[in-house]
Order: sequence, then structure tokens, then C-alpha cells
Amino acid sequence: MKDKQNLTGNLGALVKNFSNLHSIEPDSMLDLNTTTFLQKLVSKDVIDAGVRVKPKDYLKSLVLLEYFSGIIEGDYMACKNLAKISEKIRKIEDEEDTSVDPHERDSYLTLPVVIAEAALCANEKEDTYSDNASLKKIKVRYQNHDMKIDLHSPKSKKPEPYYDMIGQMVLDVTSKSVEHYLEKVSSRAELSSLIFTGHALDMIKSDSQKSKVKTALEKKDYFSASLEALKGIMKDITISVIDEYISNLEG
Amino acid sequence: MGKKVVQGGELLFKEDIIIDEEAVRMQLTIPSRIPIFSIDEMQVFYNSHVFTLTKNSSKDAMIKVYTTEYGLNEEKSPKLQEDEYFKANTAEVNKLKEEFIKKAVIGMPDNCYDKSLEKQACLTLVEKINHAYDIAEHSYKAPPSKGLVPKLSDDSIFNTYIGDFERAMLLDGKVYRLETIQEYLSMFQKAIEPKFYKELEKKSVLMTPEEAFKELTDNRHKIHPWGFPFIRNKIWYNEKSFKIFLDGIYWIPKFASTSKNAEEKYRNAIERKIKTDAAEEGFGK
Repeated sequence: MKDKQNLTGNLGALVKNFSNLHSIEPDSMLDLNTTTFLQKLVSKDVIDAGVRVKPKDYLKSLVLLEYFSGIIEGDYMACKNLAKISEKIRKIEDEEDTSVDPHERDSYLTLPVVIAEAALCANEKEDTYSDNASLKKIKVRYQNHDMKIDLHSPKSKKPEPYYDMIGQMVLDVTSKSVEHYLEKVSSRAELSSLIFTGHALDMIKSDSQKSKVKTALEKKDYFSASLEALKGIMKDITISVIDEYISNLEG
Repeated sequence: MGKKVVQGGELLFKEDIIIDEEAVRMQLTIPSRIPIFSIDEMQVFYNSHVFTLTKNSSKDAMIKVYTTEYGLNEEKSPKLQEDEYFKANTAEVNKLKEEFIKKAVIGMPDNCYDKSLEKQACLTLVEKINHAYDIAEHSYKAPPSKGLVPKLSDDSIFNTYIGDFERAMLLDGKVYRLETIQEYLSMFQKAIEPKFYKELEKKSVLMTPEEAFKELTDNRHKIHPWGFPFIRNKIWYNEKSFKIFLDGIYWIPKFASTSKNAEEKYRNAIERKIKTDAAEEGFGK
């Protein structure tokens, strides 16, 4: 219990020390802690893409898309595609049906659909991940967010109750499969990549690929771990995940 | 020609004493850790009191962040914080005062025997300082209080000159105004069916955020679909929503501005106090 409190306290302090990626307060329809979380971990490009995700998967998906779009892909195609899928489903939804909360409608997607779309987008640019020049570009984008925070430095902002809970939010959006690596992260890039890696890892079927991801994580090489995780979902996820989601709606 | 004073065997005229206006306006490097704005955690301001979050939860004054309820712990009053600031930095502040007088008042002897002349120069200097800073007392706007947290009598620089902190929150360099549910809803009046808005306006005074959420959700067909999430989700959305309860009222934090301007104004007001204190303390050594 105390270990968990320490972890959320440290995570909160870490996030507190990240610079804000944007200032969305004036337009935010979210409560204060969610707004803070998004300011620190998700860019305005991803938020503005208008991806609709069910509340339980919302923050996980946005951090995942931030890492995938902002760092790996360097464009927001996956976000735009997801917004289009939502829009198509929305057209067939009965908006007048007030028995369903708007955010629980089918046009609000789920985390597996978001990961599937990321995998499909990555497959379209498959060459990117074997081409050194492209990998270098990804690495540069990663390094732009890899400013290490030393919480012991007197210059660092210190833990406080409000941010302890932001730390709890970070813990809650991280897959259990990579939770124990959280205590080692020290930058926004490491944290986002770990969140991405965890959720991707949960969808990888191949044991050998899973093992490659874990080996990189053990070495604290979060960047390589995320690329191995990406390779895993690119191999294991097909468009059938999205087709299945849509056919379940029709069914 | 002004008053003639015999000073150390020399003649001194009032005209010989010059106030250097540029030096009056000159920025001082005041001790950096100023009260309020140097505190690196969420603070709530209410009726001149200052609160921070504490792990000891309380039913009367609480903030819920994500899944945890915190109590609100009253911090030292701004006046006390300022007194401590000046006390802790006495030597530095005295040096600033001395340097300021040296630069701002030209021609005043170290020991002026004519006290009326010195007093006149002091008054002129104070007047010029006040003119240079143009920081007026702000008019206090009382929050819609339930009287459980009465206004603190506090003549601090912060509460006297820095406005819009009667009910506010400071977090990460940003100022949030605390609004009642009723005030928050009033911003969206045009997006809500008039009859329902009137009912809601009345009811909302006594509503908890959860009750407001239910009322809005149940009547969402009476609210413009685009406005609905803005209206409802900021008040309350689920068990992980932010919530603040103080003085018997639930408040919604609404972003007002970054704290940069308020902090700069506060620094200027502190700087002005150092200068006026220097002037009022006289020039004699």
C-alpha cells in the first residue's frame, strides 16, 4: 500500500514537472484533474482530432495515440481515421434515444479498436520501420520529449496531494503488464512509450515478440520496447478487429 | 528660491534636493521567494483565507481529486506570510531601501538638521512612488457566502491590492475562479430551454454536483446537444470527477487567467512597499 502511494506520489511529481503541452482550459469540457492530465500528456493535435472513445478507455487511448501519432508516425492519420469511423457509426445511431448516455453510444470506440487502427496505419507505412533514416526521425521526435526529470534536484517541483492523484491517473491508464516499470521512468517520452507498449503488449499474440518487448523493458530501453510492441501489433492485428466491432453493432 | 538652511557650514536650498523620477520607477530585485506565489502546490483562496490540501479529509471543507477526498487546511494568513517574508529578508530589504534612497534623493545631506525639510522631501517621494506604481486598492467582491467561513480581517498587500482572489484557486501558474453551480449554469442559459433553465436555476442552489448531473442527464433533450457535454461534464461526470466543497457550497473551478499578471502586480506592490517604507523611515542616519 505504502509502495503504491510512493509510486503514485513520484509519478505525480514527475508529471508535475512536465511542461504543459497546451492550454486548453478555456475550451475544456472536462473536469480539472482530467484537464491537467491532458495538458501534461496529450497534445492539442490529438485532442482536436475529435476521436470518440468510451470514458473507461478515453485517457488510455489518447495517451496511446499521442505516442503513436506524435512520436512514431509523425502524423495524425490514425486519429483522423478513428474520427471518421466514429462519424460513420454516428450517422446510423439514433441520437434521439435518450436511454443511452451519449458517451456510451457505439460511436464512442474502444481501446482495442484504437490499437487496431494504429496497427493498420503502421502497416501502410511498413517500410518506415526498417529504414534507418525514418527510424532516426522517430528517435529525434522521441528525444524531443525525453528531457529527464530528477526529482531529487532542488530545482524540481515537489510532490503534493493534487498531483498524487494525477499520478494515480497515470497508474490507472497503464496496463498491468508493464506497471512495475513505471517507477523507473523519468521523462514524458518514457512514460508515454511505456503506456503505449503496455496496451500493445496486451494484444500481441506471439510469445517471441512479447519476449522481445520485455527484454527491451528490462534494459530500461523504452524506445526499443515500443518499436518491438508496434511490430507485434502490426503482425498480429488485422482489419478484422475493426470489422468485428462494426459487425457487432450491426448484429 | 526655497528655504535656506545652514548645513555643516554650507548653504542648502530646498531646490538643491532633487527626486530622481527615473530612480523612483526603477525596478528593485526583491527577495525572490515572495509569499503565496512561491508556494508550489494547489491553493484555495476564500474570503481572504488561504487553504491547501491535506490528507485529513473533512466534511465541511473538502476537495476531491480523481478518487480521493482531501481536507482543506488553513494556511498562515497572507499578512502573516508577508510579515515573515520581510522578517526573513530584513538585511536584504534594508539594503534595497538604502540603495533606493541614495539613487532617488539627490542632494539630501546625511544628517539633515531641518526635519521639516526632510519631512517635505519624504512626502514628495512617497507621492511620486505611488504615482509611479498606480496600484489601487481593489474593491472586495464578497462571494455568495453561507457564512461558515467569515471574511478574514487581513490588511496584507495581497488581500488589499491583488484583486479577484476572494474565491479562487491557484494551480500550476493558473488562476481559477470558483463559481457556484448556479453561476456556472448561467453561462449556458441560451443553450437550455427557458422553462427548464428557470427550474434548474432555482434548484441548483441546493444541488450537489451529482444531483445536478442527474437533473441535466435526465433532461438532456432540453439542452442543445453541442452544449450538453460542456454544461454537464465540468460540474460532475462520474466518481472520478473533481469536486470542491467549502462554506456549505459546491464550487466549479473555471479557468480565469494565468497567474503571471497577478504575480507581477504582487511583486510590484511589494516593491512599492519597500520604497515607501524607505521614504517614510526618513533619510537621516
